[in-house]
Amino acid sequence: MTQPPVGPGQPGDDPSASYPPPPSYPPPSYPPPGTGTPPPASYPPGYHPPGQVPLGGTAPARPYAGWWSRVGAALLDGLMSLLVVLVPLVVGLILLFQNSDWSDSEEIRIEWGAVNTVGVVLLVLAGILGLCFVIWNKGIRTGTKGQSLGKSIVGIEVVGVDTGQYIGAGFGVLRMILDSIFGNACFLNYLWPLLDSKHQTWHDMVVKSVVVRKS
Amino acid sequence: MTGTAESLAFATRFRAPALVALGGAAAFTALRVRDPHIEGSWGLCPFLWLTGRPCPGCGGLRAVNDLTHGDVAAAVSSNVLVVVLVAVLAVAWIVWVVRTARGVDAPMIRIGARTSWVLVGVVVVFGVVRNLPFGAWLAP
Repeated sequence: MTQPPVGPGQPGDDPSASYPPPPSYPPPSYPPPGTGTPPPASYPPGYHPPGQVPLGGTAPARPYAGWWSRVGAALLDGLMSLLVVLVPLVVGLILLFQNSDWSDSEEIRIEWGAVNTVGVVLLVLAGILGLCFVIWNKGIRTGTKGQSLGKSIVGIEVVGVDTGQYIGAGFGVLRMILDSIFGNACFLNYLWPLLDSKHQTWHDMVVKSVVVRKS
Repeated sequence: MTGTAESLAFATRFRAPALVALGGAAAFTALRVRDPHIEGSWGLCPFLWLTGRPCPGCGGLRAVNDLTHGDVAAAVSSNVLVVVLVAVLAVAWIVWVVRTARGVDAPMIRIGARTSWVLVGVVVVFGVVRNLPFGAWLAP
């Protein structure tokens, strides 16, 4: 957090990233000539060559992250948050339900008069722990380093579509919140990169981010 | 442009609106067929189960079910936010389709970061107010 300003787009963060911009812009990747339809004189705004995101400023265009790699990263992140809360969650549930009446199998009865306080505390602790972990992992870390832990493993990162730089903690947390809202409200959010021209989910669109392969 | 290329572009342009409509219709149908007024029919909300209090989303599924029956009053009393959301989405979708037909390539809804923070704030405030005495009429 208090590191020197080794931001995205600066050498030292990633030795392989040749970020100092070349003096000339990358040539516009028109479709190769001879494919029948000549390219229009000028592309409409918003158009970009398939397979690559042109990022704003002087950042070079980057290849999109594949949909499955994003799914994999999300599953890994979910697995990790599960691991983080596993111990307090399981112990808390055991403590809470050990005195329950299971004889009526239709529903679970808890003797609330004799609730195991430690069990409740552990469950609340598990909730807070999990929340903090997700906010840090999918919000702050994704914003400042471009990657949640899952994305680091998979090798993809989140950058601003207009800047090519990491989006920062604030936008990262907002992206995480919207991810959870959109994802829970409508699964279509996660399918959206499959048909979107910039491979964006809805939470990507709001914070103007794209997910690209880490070079 | 040739006719086939045009119709191909037409199909591509309307793919997203069609998918959204399909998703919405599926959700409405599911909530109509399997009535969320029956407790546990769509599972239990862990927040309600643990605290006994309604969260901002509480009554949302019931509100949609009420809407499929045309009972707006019941829907509003279940969850105003969801009713407003459905209305906004419906209008936005229609505008989107009209604009797409006119050849405008734009997303259905465009909201910026600041707006979404505000909306998140509205949801949180709604969740708090409906748990307070003077906001009890907002609870489901």
